[in-house]
Amino acid sequence: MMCMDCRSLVPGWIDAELGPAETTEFAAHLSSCRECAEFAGRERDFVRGLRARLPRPDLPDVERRHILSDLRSVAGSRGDLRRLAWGGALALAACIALVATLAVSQARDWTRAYRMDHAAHAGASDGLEFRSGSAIQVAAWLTTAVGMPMHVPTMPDARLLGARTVRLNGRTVALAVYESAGRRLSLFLGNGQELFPARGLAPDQLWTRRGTPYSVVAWIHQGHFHVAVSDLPVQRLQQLARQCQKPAT
Amino acid sequence: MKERFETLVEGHLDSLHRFAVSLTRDRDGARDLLHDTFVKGFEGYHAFRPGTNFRAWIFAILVNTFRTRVRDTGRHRHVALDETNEPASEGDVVFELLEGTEILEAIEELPEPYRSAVLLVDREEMRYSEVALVMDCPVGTVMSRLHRGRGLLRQRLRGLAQERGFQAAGKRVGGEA
Repeated sequence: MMCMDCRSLVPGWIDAELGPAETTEFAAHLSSCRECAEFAGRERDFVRGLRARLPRPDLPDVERRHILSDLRSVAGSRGDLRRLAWGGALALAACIALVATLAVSQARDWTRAYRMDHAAHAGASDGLEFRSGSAIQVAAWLTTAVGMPMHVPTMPDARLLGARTVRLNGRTVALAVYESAGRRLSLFLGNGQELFPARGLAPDQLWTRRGTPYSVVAWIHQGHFHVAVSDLPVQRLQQLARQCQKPAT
Repeated sequence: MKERFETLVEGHLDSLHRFAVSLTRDRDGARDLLHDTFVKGFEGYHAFRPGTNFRAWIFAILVNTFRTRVRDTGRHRHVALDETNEPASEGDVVFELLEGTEILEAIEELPEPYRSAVLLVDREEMRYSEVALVMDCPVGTVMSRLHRGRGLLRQRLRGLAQERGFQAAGKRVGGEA
């Protein structure tokens, strides 16, 4: 074995990755070549020192919750889609033209990500990262979670349950969750216009999309976008949106 | 299937997150990268064969996702290092002068694919066969990348240590042994 070949095997020797034949040949060379033996020793010391000093930080709890929420949101929404796809395979085959049309409309539908997230958390596992009925406490938690001042509206006809964050279009969006008449309401809050592409909307003007089962009402209030998603009747959702726009008392 | 996928990913969440942060060097970027990895992983999970190496499989998706993002955005920051590979003489003494975070930063400054090889083997304690799956290359290539990466890292750490008064002959400036 040449010295160059020996040195190329040093990582495998340090990491116990060499096969029996390579190990034998490697050891034989080291016993006859002092320079390679010293080189291998230095390399081994370096790797041991490196591994001993290399930090292996665990995920901070807050970040873990956010990432797990992302994971569950992904798996939940994709799982729903997959079940739908399997269950409706024959119908889809018979309606290719219709599906193509729907696909185009869905691609243009910015509310889809919001509705999918709401659907993924509307069941027993709501994914809330912070539970409180106090708008002040929830706003404080969201302010820390998203790194910017957040205001959480109160609605006389809806009960605040808590909050979590969600990743949408590469941005972290604050989400306050309410309950009204036994139905869940997700209120997404933020200031990124790209998350709410309803252009030309006047302040506090409501933008509505009726859907089955989830409808969306969106508006801009004091420079912040609000997107409310629920299976409540649209009129009820609009009524709650108006309550959000009233100044806090 | 959803629960199974979540459980498997959760078992590697710390490791995945550490590696994503090291690749992107940005916590928000890491979270985006993980999100995209989850999406691709879940969509392709039906093709994953139970009993095979899930860790290598999900890490491979993460690496491929990162490569795609780098290619699409043109972001590929690394510091050019001296390519000579002279063995250092100071052994592990440099580590006494450096903080763990400095060592990690020096690794993160390594060019790809050396950075990934060092991180996956020396921090995440992967076997070469796993890294070969993750990086989609032969085991021999993993070993050569590791050899090269560690050599570059040692040079970088030696440079940092010398800034702290460490001399290559094995003594510190000021007479300390």
